[in-house]
Amino acid sequence: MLLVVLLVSAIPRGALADEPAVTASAAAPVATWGRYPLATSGLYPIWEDTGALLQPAQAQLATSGVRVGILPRLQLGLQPSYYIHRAPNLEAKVSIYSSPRLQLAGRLSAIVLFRDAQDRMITPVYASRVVNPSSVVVLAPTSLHVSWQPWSFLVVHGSATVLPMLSNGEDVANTAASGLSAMIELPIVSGNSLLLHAGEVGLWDHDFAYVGASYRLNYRWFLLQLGYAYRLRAEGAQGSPMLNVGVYL
Amino acid sequence: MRRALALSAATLLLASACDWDYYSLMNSIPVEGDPAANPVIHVVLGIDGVPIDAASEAVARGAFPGWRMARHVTSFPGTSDVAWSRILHTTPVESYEYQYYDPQKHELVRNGYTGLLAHTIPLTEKPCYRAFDFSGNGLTNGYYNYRAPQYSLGTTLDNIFTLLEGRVQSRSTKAFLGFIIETDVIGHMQTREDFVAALEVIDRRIELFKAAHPERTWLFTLVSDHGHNFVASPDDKMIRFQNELPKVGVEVVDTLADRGPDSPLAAIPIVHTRVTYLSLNTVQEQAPEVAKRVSTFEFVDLAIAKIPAPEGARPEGLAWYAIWKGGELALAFGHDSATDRYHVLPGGDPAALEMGWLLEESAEGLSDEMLFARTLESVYPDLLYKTRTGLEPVGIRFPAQVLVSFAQPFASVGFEVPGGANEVATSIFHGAMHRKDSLGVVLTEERDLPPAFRSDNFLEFFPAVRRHLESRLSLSPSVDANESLDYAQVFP
Repeated sequence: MLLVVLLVSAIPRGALADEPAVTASAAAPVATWGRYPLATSGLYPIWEDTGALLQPAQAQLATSGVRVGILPRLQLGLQPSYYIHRAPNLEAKVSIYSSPRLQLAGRLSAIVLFRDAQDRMITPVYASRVVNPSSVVVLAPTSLHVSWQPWSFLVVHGSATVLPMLSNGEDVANTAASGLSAMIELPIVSGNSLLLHAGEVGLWDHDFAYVGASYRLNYRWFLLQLGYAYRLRAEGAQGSPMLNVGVYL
Repeated sequence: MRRALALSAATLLLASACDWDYYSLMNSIPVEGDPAANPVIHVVLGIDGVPIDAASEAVARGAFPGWRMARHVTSFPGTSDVAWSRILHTTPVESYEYQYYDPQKHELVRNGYTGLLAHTIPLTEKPCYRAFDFSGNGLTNGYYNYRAPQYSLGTTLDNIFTLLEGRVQSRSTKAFLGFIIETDVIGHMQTREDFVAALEVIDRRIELFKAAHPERTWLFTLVSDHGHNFVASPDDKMIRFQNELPKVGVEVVDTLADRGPDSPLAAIPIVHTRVTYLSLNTVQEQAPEVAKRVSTFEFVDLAIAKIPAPEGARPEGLAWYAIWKGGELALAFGHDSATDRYHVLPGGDPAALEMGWLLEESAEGLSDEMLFARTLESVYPDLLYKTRTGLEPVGIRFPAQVLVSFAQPFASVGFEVPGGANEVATSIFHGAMHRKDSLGVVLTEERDLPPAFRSDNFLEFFPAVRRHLESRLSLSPSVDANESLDYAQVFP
């Protein structure tokens, strides 16, 4: 899959679409407020992202993602805080189609959960429902993301994800789960957006759904996104704060 | 650019210290196990501070049908950190409270606001709580516990059952421990009815969970770490012990460095949480006199301290302890650790402790089993064992030299915030030696239980839980060498 991503990324700009712009965000005339007034990534882990990419040689250094535009259609990134929790990870995102109002991207990630990943929380007030005392688990979420801006005040980000979970099977079965998610972004004032988040994971084999809301600010190089989501399962709801603070360089 | 980089580095560092992203990740991964690999799951829910009275009432209303219930005779002082450390045999905590006196450094640790903040900023976790697979419900848990304990209970149960359902997908999971602190808070701040209602909620949630997951056999156990006395203490019954000690000629100090047996009487009162006991650090040689003097206060029920071996006492080599009540010695006894027998010193007034029979039956020493059985229905169940282990490094590293058990309806005021919010948590209390403060409960559908058992023996009754803990933590084989009881002797 990584090969496919790299091959697609190597296709010259314009071969897949007439529009030269790589991201809608980049095309928006809002340079005074921030280079990326609209979301360039998801906030909820694994299951959401956008169709937008960073421009080549530009970077986002943030708590929920260090990402760098490598080629016109390729962006590489990682989740830095997972490394603090000893969960190495990497992601590649490639633009498949891009026009001022519509972007389509594919993303391939790999996250390694070493044994006893449930014990890696820094504070004692958060716990994991996944435990792997006997196995190293590799997550390889593979996804398609679309960002569509029908009007200037509305952007819809949709994601379809397949999450293969691979291990030696000593703890849990090797499975692949699917999920759909959407972010509704309302750019209320230049550089300021309200976002509504929702997702369904498992689909026909329902696992959980989530709903949330966040506020995003990009002023010049500064990026802040703060929100809260609830994961909804038959057993109960889990509140989950979400924060992304960083800079665009 | 340099400023941006510096800011980004600082921001990364700050936010990385926060678990939010990882928490979301680890709870957003669908997992699937094989019920045949672990068809039976032992689930222990630590229900903090639930007394036997409230549990009995909930059962009488129909909760926990078919479960077995036992009185859980918990340790003294009845405060959670040391109690859970003893119940689960985890690494000893420093002392009875966050704030304590370190006799090696001769200083008060987490004194003042730092001790208060330790309750609300969960950056570290005591080993006894690390034993639980779930012990906290997010950064705001400490706030919602007190602001809206019923809401907090709901979110805690949501989290517990969500984690439980996920964790059992791993074939290695045979047991799960969840900690519910909200029951203790409901006890402190609300009514007995609220307490019972909270237990009924827990019962309903358990039944709903079991009905939704018939693919496994779930064996639930609820265990509490201490009781609650159901006696409110209005402000005029709140004791500021530091103000009282000078009235009996005991100076209040904040270090015992450079103090000896011949120094003027002095002690360090640990006035930290709102409870019905108090620990006093003093020079060991002064402890009996300090205990005797503080027992004269009307708000003190009992004061206990270690004493030197009485002259001519037989057998030799025993560790000796004493209990004062109303300024008089009520009971002095020695403990033979080799035989686990207790020897009572003639004199005193055991009848004041509802133990008038004690002197007549103590010629050969009294067995632990006999004492447990004979004191079980008294005001002070398991009094001698609790006195002895309360003053020794059992479950803690730094025991106090004097422990005070308050008379009802008095309580130690605890930490006071200048300017307000001091009226909270005055409904009911725990901590004292009195049976209402100290009788907790064990409710289980896993096995038969004796009518009552010592909380230090909890893991003996639930070996699957012990194995689960041992797979994750280093446990003490025993918190006290003589903790075990032969329950066939206790309940023939």
